[in-house]
Amino acid sequence: MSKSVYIKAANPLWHRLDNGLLQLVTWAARLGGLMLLMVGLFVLYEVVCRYVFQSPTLWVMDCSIYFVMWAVLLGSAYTMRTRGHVLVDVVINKISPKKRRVVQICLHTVILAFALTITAAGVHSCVRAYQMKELTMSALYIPLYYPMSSIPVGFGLMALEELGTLFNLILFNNSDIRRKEKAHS
Amino acid sequence: MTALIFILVSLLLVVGMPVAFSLGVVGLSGLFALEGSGAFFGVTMIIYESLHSFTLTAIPLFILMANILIHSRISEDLYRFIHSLVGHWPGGLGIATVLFCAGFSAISGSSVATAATVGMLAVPEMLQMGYDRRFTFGLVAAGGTLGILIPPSLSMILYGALTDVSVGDLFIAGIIPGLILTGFFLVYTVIHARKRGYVRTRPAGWSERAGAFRRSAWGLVLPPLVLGGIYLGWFTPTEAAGVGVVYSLAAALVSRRLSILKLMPVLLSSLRTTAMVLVIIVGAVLFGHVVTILHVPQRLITFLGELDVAPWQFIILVCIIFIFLGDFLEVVSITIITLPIIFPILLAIGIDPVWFAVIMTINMEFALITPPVGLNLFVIKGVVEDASLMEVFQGTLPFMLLMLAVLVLVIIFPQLSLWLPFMVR
Repeated sequence: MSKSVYIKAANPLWHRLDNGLLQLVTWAARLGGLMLLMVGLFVLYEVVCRYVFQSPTLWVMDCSIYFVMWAVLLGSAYTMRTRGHVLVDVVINKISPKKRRVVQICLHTVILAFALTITAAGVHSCVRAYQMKELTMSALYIPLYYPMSSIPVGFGLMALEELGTLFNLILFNNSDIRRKEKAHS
Repeated sequence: MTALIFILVSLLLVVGMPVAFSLGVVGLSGLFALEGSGAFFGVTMIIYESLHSFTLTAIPLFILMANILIHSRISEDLYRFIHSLVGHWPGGLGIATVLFCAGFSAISGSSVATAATVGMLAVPEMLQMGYDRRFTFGLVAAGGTLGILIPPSLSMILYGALTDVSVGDLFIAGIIPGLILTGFFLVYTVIHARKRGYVRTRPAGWSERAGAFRRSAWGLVLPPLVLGGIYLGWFTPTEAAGVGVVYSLAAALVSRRLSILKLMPVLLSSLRTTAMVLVIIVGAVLFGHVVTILHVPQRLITFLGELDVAPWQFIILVCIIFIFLGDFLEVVSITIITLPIIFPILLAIGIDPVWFAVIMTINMEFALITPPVGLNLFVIKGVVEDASLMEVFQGTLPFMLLMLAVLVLVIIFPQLSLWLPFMVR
């Protein structure tokens, strides 16, 4: 029996939760991908406006920056799931699987704590920006929490993803590589 | 404290934490240690500012453009066209590979994308025609590195975004060194092919060439559009990237090489690469904040001032550091970690930042092909499964000597990189 089938049988609730998480991260990334494409369209629109209509826009530059910000943070959890964040794996590949699991559990716990801290700080800053009615410091005066909320959302997703990885590692001794294969399929 | 944070980062990197989080975790911990609870209230703004840059916007756009070209096989048509022109020369397949690398580098800003594209097309064909395995692997891995030297270049966009040096100037500064390196690769390929007496392919007929030209016409428009636009001042590098994205998407859709339904995987893989690069920036900015609070650059400047280091000595020292770091880290990480520390020193001892960008980029090309972490080596391994990392690396050695020669030339003759930007200004 393959490991994922085994997990499905042994713990159907966890299997469903993990699948739900995968869906969440992937849909967030799809949204982010579309945002990248829209940035391309925005920028083309700016060039056309400048040369054809002789009137540069005020919003393209800021909107592009905010869209890229949202896209990157929405896509980071998916990048984690598909192991797209670069790392040095020369040493970790050389140690025994047992030790590797311990190291991985430690590393993922540290990253989880990091992501949770930033999520909490992000929520705090966004709530304050909302209450104080802070605006962005740019040509486009929009509430600051529009772009800024990408930070708690993105790091929140990363925290969830790390939690999933940790559960897999601790409960089922399931390496994060297997999760990657699932995300790609 | 200073030593501690650098040791901690190295430790996390070695045990396999992703670069972005190693930097971020140590940066955030450092902030808490230095500023107490103030760090909690300030960290969101630091992250927000780190991503707040229109120059950085060019990175996802260039990545997306390259991915569209690869998935729609427009890049493959470009290779076939070049191949139909020069394939029958001595070492023709090798020459086509180098020329394609240079040409694709003028569209894509990424060395890995360049090596991956040419690797899939050229390596099987070269091996089939009896080319030496090591030479083939080395040529493709090293040829791919042209991607970041010949504009547009992701590492130069990063350099510009981190230092406020004009990305347009940086791009133009890379052109002449890039062409020289291309020339060196070509000459070596011809010499190698003549020595080995490789079989030449049959010359393509003119109708065949015309057909290949027609198919590749979509792609051939891009280098003049993207580079010409920047060069003539029509648009900024970011705008050029945006125009390139929309153009290549339109070309792929109109020529029916990509359907709307197949666009999502392209977007996802582009976002994945983008997130990889930009999250490292987030981590590095957190880390850089601590480095700045600790006055690390200023202390280094004072230290170097006391040593009375000449600019050329400093450059050689930095090159050695880059090559050492390049063994273990990839281009984005090295650039983002070192540049904020090195850049103030450059200005303090009077080194031209544009010139230095070219020197740094050539160093980064080494980083792409030096094991254990040389991304282009892995690209070749991805194409040819039975290739060992050592075999690919040995293949790149002669090309590394050529790259070293160009590096020395650029250091001795700064005009090679500075003349063209000066003329354009």
